[in-house]
Amino acid sequence: MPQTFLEKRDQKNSEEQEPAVQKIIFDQKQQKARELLKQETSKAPKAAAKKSSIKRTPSGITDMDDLIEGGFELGSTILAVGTAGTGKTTFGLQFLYYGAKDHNEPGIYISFEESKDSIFRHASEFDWDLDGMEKKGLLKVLQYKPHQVEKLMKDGGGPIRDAIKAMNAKRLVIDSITAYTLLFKDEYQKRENVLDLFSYLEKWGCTSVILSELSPKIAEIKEGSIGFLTDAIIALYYGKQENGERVHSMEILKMRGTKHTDKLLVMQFEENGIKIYPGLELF
Amino acid sequence: MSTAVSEKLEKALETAPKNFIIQIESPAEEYNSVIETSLNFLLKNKDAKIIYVTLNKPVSMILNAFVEKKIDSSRFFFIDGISGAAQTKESMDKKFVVLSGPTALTELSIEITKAKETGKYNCVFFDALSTMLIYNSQKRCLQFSYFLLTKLRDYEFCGIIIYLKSELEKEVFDSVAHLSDKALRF
Repeated sequence: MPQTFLEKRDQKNSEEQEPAVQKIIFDQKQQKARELLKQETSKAPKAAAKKSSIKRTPSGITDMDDLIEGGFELGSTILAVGTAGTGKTTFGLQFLYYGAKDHNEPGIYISFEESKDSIFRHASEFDWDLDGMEKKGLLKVLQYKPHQVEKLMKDGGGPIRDAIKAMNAKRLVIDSITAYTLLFKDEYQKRENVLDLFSYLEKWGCTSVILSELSPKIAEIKEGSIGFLTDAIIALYYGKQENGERVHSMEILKMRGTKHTDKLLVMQFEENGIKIYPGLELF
Repeated sequence: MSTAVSEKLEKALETAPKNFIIQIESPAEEYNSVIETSLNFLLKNKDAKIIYVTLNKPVSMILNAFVEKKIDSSRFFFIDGISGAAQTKESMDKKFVVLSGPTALTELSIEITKAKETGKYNCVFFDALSTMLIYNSQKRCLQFSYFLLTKLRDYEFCGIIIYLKSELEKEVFDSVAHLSDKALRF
C-alpha cells in the first residue's frame, strides 16, 4: 500500500537526527537568497539602531510584546518552529485571533494538513470566538490538499492572493512549511518553491507566521534554508526537566532589528491562549 | 505545643518587620501547632490574605482542620502539590488549584505568580519546603527556594516557610536563611 502524505511526513520527521548530506546546486534564485542573507546581516546593526522607526504589530501572545519592543515588525515573516505538542497551531491562531479581535486586523490561516473543523475544535479549549471572527470577515481558514498546492504555487498563489485582497488581510499563518516542502521531490524543487512562497509573502505584504514541525537546526537544513529568509525565528519547546516535569517554553532565536531577550521563557496555555511568564525560570 | 515553643514563636512573629519572611523548622510533634499559631498570627495581626502552598496534606484535609480550629478559609487560596491528578485540577470557586505533582516546580511558580497577579493576596505560607526534598534534588530545591524568597521580597509579601525537621532539610534551611528575616529552629 502506498504511504499516505502524513505517513511520509512522520517518516521524514523521525529521520531528522542525521540529515543526509545532499549535493547543493546553486541556481540564480539560490544565489539571490545567499546575497539577501549577506545584505540582511550587514543591515542588522543599522536596523537595531533605528528601532524607533520600525512599525510593529502586537503578537497576540500574552506578555510577549514587552520582550520584543512592542510586537512583530509590520510585514515581517516569523518562523515558529517546534515538534508536535509544543503549541505551534495555538501560537498561529492566537496571533490571528487577537489581531482580529483587539486590532481589527483581518487574518488568514492557510492549512496544508488539518481541516478547518479540526483547527477550530482544537482551539475550543480557549476562550476564543473563532466563529464570530469568521462571521465578521476578520478570520478565514483556507485548506489545501497536497495535490492542490503545486498548482496553487504555479498560479502565483491566486486564491490566497484573492482572499487577502478581498479581506484586506493584514495577518497570515501558514501551517506548515514542513508539509509544504514535503510536496517537492528534490532539494532543488524544494528551494525553488520555498523562494517562490517567500516572494509571494513579500508581495502580499502581510505580517506572516510560518509554522515548522522541525527543530530549528533541522528546519534550516531540510526546509530550503528557510531560517535566513525569515525575519524572526521563535522556537517552541515542551521539554522534560531532569525530574520528569514537562514544561512548555519558548525562545526567541532571532528577530531582526529588535532587541529581544535570549532567555528561555516559561509559557503556559491558559483560558486566553498562550501566556508568557518572563519573570520565571525553568526548574 | 510546649509553652516555650509557643512563646518563642509568638515573640518572633510580633517583633518581625512589616513584610517579614520567616523560616521555621519544626519537629514533627510541634508541626500542627506551629502552623496553627503562625496562621492565627497572620490573620489577626497582618490582615493576611494567604496563598497556602501545601506539599504535605491534600487541601481537603487542611480545610477540615480549618473548620475544627475555626480558621477562616475564605482568606486563603490553596496550591495543592500533593493530591496530583487524583482530584479536580481547579475548584469551581477558584479557591484552590492542584498541581500535577510535587516535582512540578515550574508549574508551582506559575500558580504562585498567577495568584499574586489577581491582587487579592499579600502572603505566602509554604507547608513544607522540606517535603520538596523528598521528590526533588537538593540543587533544584535550593534553586526554587532562592526563587521563592526573592519573589516574596519583590512582591512585598509576607512569607512563612515551614520545614519539618529531618536530616534532609538542614542544608537548604541554612543556605537560604540569610534571605529571610528570621530563621527559627524548635
